[in-house]
Amino acid sequence: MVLAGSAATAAQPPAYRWDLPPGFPPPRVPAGNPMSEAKAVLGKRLFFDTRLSVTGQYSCASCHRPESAFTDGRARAVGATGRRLNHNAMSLVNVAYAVSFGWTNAGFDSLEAQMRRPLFNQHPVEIGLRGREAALLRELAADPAVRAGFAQAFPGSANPISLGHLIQAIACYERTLVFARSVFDRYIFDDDQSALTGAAKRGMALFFGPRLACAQCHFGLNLAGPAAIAGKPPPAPIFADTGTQGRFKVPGLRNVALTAPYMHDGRFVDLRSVLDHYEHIERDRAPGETLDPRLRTFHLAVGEKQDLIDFLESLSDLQYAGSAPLH
Amino acid sequence: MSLARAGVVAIASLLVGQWSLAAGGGAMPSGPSVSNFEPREVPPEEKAKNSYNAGIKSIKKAKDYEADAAKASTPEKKAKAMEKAGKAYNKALEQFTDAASNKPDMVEAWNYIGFANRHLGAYAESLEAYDHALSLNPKYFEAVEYRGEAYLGLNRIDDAKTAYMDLFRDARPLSDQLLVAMQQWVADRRLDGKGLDAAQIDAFELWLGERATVARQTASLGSGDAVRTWK
Ligand code: HEC
Ligand code: HEC
Repeated sequence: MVLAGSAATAAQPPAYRWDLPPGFPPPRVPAGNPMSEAKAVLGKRLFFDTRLSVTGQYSCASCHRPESAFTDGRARAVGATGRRLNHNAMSLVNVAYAVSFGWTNAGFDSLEAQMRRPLFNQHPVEIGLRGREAALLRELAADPAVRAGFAQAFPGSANPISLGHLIQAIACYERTLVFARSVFDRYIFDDDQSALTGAAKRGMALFFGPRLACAQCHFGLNLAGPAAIAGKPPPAPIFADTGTQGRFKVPGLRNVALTAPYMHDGRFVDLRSVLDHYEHIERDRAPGETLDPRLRTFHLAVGEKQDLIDFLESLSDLQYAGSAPLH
Repeated sequence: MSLARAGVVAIASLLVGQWSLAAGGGAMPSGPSVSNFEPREVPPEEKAKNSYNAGIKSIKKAKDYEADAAKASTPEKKAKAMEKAGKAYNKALEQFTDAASNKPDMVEAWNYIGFANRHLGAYAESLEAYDHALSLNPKYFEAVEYRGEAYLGLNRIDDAKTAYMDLFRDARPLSDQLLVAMQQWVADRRLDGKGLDAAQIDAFELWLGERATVARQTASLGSGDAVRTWK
């Protein structure tokens, strides 16, 4: 890849250098939007830029707050105009590896495609950019720092400040949000056998073990099901009915202790409630609801539930809190 | 250090010289001035390939003899088969050395020089070759795995652990392979400590047990494409 076409690529910026945690291969990146430092810097600025919203007070970060692993702490997200969305805001940590986007199978195959929803959705409004595209681009062009950012991110483009570029830059930034330095990672990748407590280790055995078989769905680097890895064809996403009245994307469990409330509609306030749900999944099943066959029926002893919670808490990594807004 | 190793290096450097000479000759328009050389011979690249492929065949033979030895009915038959295996490994070593001499950057050949040496019990030479393979290509994870096994042969436990962790992070299937070798090594050292005391073996076995559990539990973590579960 790097070796190809030495002379022809002389004008191109150097290959992007991923800053990936141990055990993480580079994620798959669409050919049309290669990674670059300049794009990521611009994307970060735009991710936090409230000028994108209809009220001038909202940004992607209003619902995807870095300090909450890029969620908003609400059961269901609230859009710029105050309307409640149907769903819980999803974490964006390690979203670069996702093979589908959104809770349901909405058919988005990339971050770029997905972004049109928050930008343009009107029922309800999320950011509320529809109809204001040209005005926003004019406003951004009038801001010297942003103008310079676009010029650097899209060198050689006759028209650097465009909606397409804005989307590409934000997607590029999202892909840089790869973090995995939790105590769990230190335990398994750094060979620090004292990183995890005994309780968390017991919880880990339960999680991955055959009795609960949580990893039937929550597998892969992010405990999120299939992952998109560079150089490999993207695997098919999985959606499952886990007794929440529908088939939903298997969410990643990294940082899960920081992303309450849980499930697509935020129905559970804490991890204990989620585990209670899995434990009583048959009992609580809606009439006619077909549960995913990968689910196990099990009963947890008192200590076991806490062990599992300890394990889930060991998946938190506060490094992304450093991804605060640029000023 | 040892004769065998000195031999390999000497041959290699000798032939590197020869190769560059030949390359220089080849770069010249084919003229009468090189008439002293043998008539246009097999190019080194191809020689390397041929020797390499012959080496692979010898390794296969050696492994077959080892399998024969494992199921031999009498100690004599076993010894006989092991002797044949040893010969085949020696043959392989020659062939891979020849390959590496003709093509000094042939990582795979260096890797197999390490492999054959290791099977001949020449751990130091083996390590030397793996180090060389990895200096040519640090991402040649097979060599990391083989080197890990060579470390075990030399009782270099911490280095073997490091090799395991490197593989666990970047080449999970090979880490599983090294894990199996480590388990075998523990069983072997229990029979004959080869300079290690029981406490050292115990400590390593404890570490290994925990890593084996982690590996089993997190088998699905490395793969982004397949649902695998711990049964
Ligand atoms: C009003 C709150 C809100 C805003 C503003 C918002 N999002 Fe979201 N985001 C959500 C919700 C809710 C979901 C889940 C969507 C669904 O499936 O219903 C989501 C899902 C996503 C996902 C899918 C994650 C996954 O793992 O599947 C991505 C990516 C994303 N948002 C990026 C963005 C970007 C980029 C912006 C700014 C352009 C943005 N969001 C603005 C609420 C918001
Ligand atoms: C059949 C696949 C499957 C299995 C097995 C499974 N999950 Fe889930 N998990 C899901 C899906 C799908 C969701 C999202 C459901 C929703 O949004 O309504 C989910 C959601 C969760 C959440 C909430 C995450 C969030 O961000 O909202 C947690 C925590 C969780 N699962 C833990 C577990 C544990 C622990 C087990 C083992 C006892 C387990 N899961 C087994 C598919 C599965």
